[in-house]
Amino acid sequence: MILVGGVLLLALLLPGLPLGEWRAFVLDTAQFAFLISGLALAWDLLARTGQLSLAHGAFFGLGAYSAALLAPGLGTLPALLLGGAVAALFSLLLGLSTLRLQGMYFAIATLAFSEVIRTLVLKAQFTGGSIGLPVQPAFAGAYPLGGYYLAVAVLAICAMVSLLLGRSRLHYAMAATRQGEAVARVLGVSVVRVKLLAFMISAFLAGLAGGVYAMKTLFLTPYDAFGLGRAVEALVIPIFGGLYTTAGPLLGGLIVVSLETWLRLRIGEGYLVVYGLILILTILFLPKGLMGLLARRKGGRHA
Amino acid sequence: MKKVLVLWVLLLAGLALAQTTVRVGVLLPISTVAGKAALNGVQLGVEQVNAGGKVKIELVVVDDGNTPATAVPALTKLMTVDRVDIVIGGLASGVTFALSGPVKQYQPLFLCIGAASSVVEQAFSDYGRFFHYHPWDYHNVAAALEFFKYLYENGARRVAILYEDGPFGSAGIQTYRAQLQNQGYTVQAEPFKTGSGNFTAILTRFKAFRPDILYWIGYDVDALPIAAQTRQVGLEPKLIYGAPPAWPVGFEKNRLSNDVAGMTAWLPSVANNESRRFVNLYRRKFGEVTDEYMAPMGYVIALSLGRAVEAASSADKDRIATELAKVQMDTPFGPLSFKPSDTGRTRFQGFNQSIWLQFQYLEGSRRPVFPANRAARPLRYPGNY
Repeated sequence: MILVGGVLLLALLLPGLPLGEWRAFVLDTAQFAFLISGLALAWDLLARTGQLSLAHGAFFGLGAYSAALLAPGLGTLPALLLGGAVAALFSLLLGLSTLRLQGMYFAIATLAFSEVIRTLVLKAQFTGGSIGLPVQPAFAGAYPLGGYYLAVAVLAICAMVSLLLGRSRLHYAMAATRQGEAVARVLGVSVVRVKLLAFMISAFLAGLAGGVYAMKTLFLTPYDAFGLGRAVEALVIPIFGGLYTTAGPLLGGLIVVSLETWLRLRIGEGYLVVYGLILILTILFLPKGLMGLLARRKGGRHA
Repeated sequence: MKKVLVLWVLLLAGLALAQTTVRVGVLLPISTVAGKAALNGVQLGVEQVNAGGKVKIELVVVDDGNTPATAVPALTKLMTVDRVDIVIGGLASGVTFALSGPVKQYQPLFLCIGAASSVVEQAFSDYGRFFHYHPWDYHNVAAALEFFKYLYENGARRVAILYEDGPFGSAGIQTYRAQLQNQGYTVQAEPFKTGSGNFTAILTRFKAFRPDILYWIGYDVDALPIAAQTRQVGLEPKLIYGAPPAWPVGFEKNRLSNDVAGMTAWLPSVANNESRRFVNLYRRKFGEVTDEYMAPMGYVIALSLGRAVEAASSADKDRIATELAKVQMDTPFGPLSFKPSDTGRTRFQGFNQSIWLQFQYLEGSRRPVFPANRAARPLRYPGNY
């Protein structure tokens, strides 16, 4: 909780810090890092029910396209909220038909869903199809830091929802579902309802992050917005940081994006090899992620 | 002895004073084949400019990651941390569009190497420091249609189009279909998923149509399966014409490539002095010859910038832009000068459809076959597939 609060406070104060000539670069990088961390937090919420989703790239893209199309008429904030709502609605439809599936079967269904959505957006005229869709900046560009604070807000909302769920009764229902659906049912948990609720909340947050992303990049193509790479990023970060926690995906996202950026600047060509190696080693030697390492240290000190 | 030394020092000091130094940001997807080729070309060109002694270009190279999420902060870093006034970049259209906002915010002289989409032309329409070297997408369509007109005159009537269902393949498909029909062709078009490797079902469907030309718009990974499976199903078109952004490495060594035709802006075998000079310099520096036209494109950008800086005798971006607008030079692609784009949206457009040429894989290498004034060999039509 303190760690999460500290990170969010730092994110709020970052534009005021004396960063010198690096200020604009750090703020740009941080903005994307907050959005990716938000997406990772959203993915982790569903993972707490034991479901492995590959549809979060699609929810991110649905939020991005919806916000981009609605913003000129409705304004930035309503467009972002509706973008999240559209993603949640699609998750409801997907969930109703697939949430009885488990493990790999559910993952395959969500992957197929991503492909279907990408193809629909690719073929539709109103989305700009394969040519792409220009997007207006947040608040029509009236506030230079508007997009940045929106990204901070998305991160804060994702972190708050994650923390609150972790302290709610739903948390126990989700954990029970993850550990064994049959047992959860015996305990009186409405398994499908719990998974559906987690799926919708998770998709809403992913869509919200996608909307702010669109307003930063100013241009969307189906391959960028619905890329499988983003869905993979959404699951790699919580694994790197620590699954089923708030601080894990939050710190994981910030560290992974910072690490990638730093390696790109320092090494240049071939940085992806080093980046990949670091991720592999982390997953090999820290199966519970960074939070597992912190917990071990804490445990060690107590002992 | 002392006098000679003093004179030498004075000469060096004079040269240093006469030399104009500019710091240039390079923003390219250096992990991709085209991006790496473009970077090699830029570095080679800069080496030539610097060797001249009057201009010194210092490059700050940053990877744009081929995605807006990486490219936007990378451009911000170039402008605010590295403090460059000139940026060479913009290879992919989507990424370049995303850069249009930060470019307008920081106001660099932006020398755009690729980004053929008209959407990018629209995005930079009100930006006066935008120099676009690569032809626009409508130039590409015009060049391909010129070739199809020639084929029609040689008896071709039916075109089967096999296009990948992504942005690259499907962006211009309706335009292509309509324009080919206007030329008198009967057209049948089918989408495919790039990299799927299995085309037999679609190619078998095409058999009933008996196409004269099998025109595929996809990626390098699709080239070999299409060439192999066209033979396997017995489609027997008179020409296989491909339009990938890059051809597979070593494709020319595979006998299945024989007679396959395609379009490019440049080949190492292009017979002009600048092209030969570029090939020699490239071979000397990198120990190989490239087929990627982005390499000479990067080279041309660096050379033209060097000329503009020399003429401006200043590192001021506006004075350099003024001189760059006046540049007229021979390049591996042919003559370069800047004019307003055909739509009038941007003020400084370098090349147009005239740089495109059609080639055919013949006996293990790519040979220019069209237009006639740039052909090294006659087009083999009908080809043997």
